[in-house]
Amino acid sequence: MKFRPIALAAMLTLGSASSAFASPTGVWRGPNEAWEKVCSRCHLSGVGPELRGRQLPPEYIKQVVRHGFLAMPAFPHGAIDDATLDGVALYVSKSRLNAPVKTAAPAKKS
Amino acid sequence: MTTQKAVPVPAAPTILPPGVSASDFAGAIREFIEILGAENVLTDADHLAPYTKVMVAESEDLHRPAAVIMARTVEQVQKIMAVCNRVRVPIWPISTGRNFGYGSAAPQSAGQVILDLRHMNRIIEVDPVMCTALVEPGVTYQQLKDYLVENNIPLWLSCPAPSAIAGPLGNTVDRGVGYTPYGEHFMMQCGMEVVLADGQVLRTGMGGVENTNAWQVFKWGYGPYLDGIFTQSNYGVVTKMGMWLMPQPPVYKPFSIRYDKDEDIHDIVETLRPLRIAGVIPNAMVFANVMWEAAAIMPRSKYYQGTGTTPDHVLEEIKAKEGIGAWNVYAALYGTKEQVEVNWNIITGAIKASGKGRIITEEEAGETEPFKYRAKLMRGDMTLQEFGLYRWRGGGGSMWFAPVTVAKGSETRDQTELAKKILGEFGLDYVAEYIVGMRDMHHIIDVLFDRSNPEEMERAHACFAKLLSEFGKRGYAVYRVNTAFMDQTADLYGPVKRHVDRALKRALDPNGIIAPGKSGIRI
Ligand SMILES: Cc1cc2nc3c(=O)[nH]c(=O)nc-3n(C[C@H](O)[C@H](O)[C@H](O)COP(=O)(O)OP(=O)(O)OC[C@H]3O[C@@H](n4cnc5c(N)ncnc54)[C@H](O)[C@@H]3O)c2cc1C
Repeated sequence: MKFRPIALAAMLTLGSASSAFASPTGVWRGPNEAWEKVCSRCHLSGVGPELRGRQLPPEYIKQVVRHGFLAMPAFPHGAIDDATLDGVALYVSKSRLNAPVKTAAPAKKS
Repeated sequence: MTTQKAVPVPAAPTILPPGVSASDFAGAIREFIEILGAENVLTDADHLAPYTKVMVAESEDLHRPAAVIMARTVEQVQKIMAVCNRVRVPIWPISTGRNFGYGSAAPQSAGQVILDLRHMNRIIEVDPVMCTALVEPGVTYQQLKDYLVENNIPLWLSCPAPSAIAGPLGNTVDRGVGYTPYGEHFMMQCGMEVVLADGQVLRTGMGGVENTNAWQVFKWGYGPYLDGIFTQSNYGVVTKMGMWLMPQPPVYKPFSIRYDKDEDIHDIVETLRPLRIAGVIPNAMVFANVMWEAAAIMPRSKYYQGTGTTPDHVLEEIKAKEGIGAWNVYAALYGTKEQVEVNWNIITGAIKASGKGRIITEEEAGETEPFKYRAKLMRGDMTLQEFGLYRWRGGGGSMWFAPVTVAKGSETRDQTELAKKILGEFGLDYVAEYIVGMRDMHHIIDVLFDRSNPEEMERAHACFAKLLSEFGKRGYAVYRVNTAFMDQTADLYGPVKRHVDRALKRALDPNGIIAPGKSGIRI
């Protein structure tokens, strides 16, 4: 069999700086990547509430991520490690809202 | 609000597996820690919290896990099986654990230990020549997509709507579906590795042949074909899965067709079924109704502040003002310029001949939703836009009612009418789409309700039970169901099926340690 193994070790190294225990959950290369590839898909598209510029306390953000809230899914430690989540929470908490709130573009009128 | 850090592991977990004493369970936990390390054995409330969040219309207490354990290797899974057999601890395996609307990550019954395989996340092989992949359970679609992009491998995935956070193994073993020509995921699966309850490791298909290089290219192997019994089941823990990937086509042409009237669903099916069966439309296209479309772009409060079922006149207003059809078809063409052109002419000709339906191309739709996310799904791209469904009524309750439909216009009309009537009796909405398979359609209805309102949750539960039984009386049954209704659904498939399911269970897992209750199967 022709193997093209992706080096797990390499992925661990990328993420391990932000990983409390040596966990491959650290596939996130940092909080930015997690924000971009997960959170922002709802929270910058109008699907979920706008979070930027609200100075939400990081502890509150982390609580909602871990426990979920209504339609917002809960994210276990296997999906995002504590260190990455700390980073995301801090980023969101300190973010500013320069652009107007972007909601989903409505369908075109026929 | 509590903070997350430094929570001491409680001496005794609050919930025990049924029939297991506190001291025996404590012993099992100690053994799990020996096998996996303390950081991979979770018993404290904060670490368990994410696994208790469910969307189904039942108390989370009915699905509360006793603990969560996280394995990283096949050997660890084998060792876990030994402990579970000895102490009779039931384990509920999950891969990426995003089974929203079907039970999320939580077990079918309280007191099971979740075996979370999210950390087994190696992409073992992608073969760009044969267009195949072999992955572990924890691999997400996003991770696989990133791998393909970073390595310049021109292959496409097929994903369910929450593609960005779900994963191919979990989705496929629950027989989930996507929207590309490879949308029937289990059909495109090839070869599995399964840890059995007795600790043996089975490789299905060609996988048992020493030095084989055909594991990911020939599904059937020799003798009885076994992969199917490890889907929607509890006969083993799948630790590797092979799958086929689609070569990126030179031309991709997504399009939509808008239909104005509810009853048009009949003609939609009659017009498009022949094109699907003939392969002119190659993908798992969808027919989404007005509320599904509207939910993707706005909460219903924009047009309706009341409670209960959204009145028809409101839906008419939404259709007129937002330019949404009663039914909205999403399909796509894939291939060379010439191939796409030929098929495009056949499709536009068929629509014209049918006398209804307005075609909308990607150029016309531009950047608008829901076209944009549909176009992403039909090329297996990453999105979470469909979570918009949950702001329609709010409250985070969702159960998919997903009866199989014969792809005939008359049958869709009957099913749609019946579903709408029953949902209406309970003050709920008919938020629906048909996903077109090879000959069948999955009639997907999102039973949305406010989970923070106990009265509405109770109503949703009663509604779902009635949907199952009334559809059942007419010979209709769902292709998959949430953890609250697995037994009722199993009954619809008849006593002999239940008997055989149980006979297999007793043969392969005599102590019943793997996922008791999954699909209604127990020893
Ligand atoms: C808005 C929205 C849209 C959705 N659209 C779709 C859609 O288009 N198509 C679709 O199919 N689903 C859809 N879903 C449902 C669901 O979210 C997906 O099916 C998702 O892929 C399932 O989660 P997962 O991939 O993380 O699998 P998991 O949750 O990991 O696994 C699913 C189940 O399979 C079993 N299982 C998992 N791993 C193993 C294993 N290793 N061994 C044995 N058994 C195992 C378990 O019973 C588990 O509960 C949607 C959900 C939402 C919220």
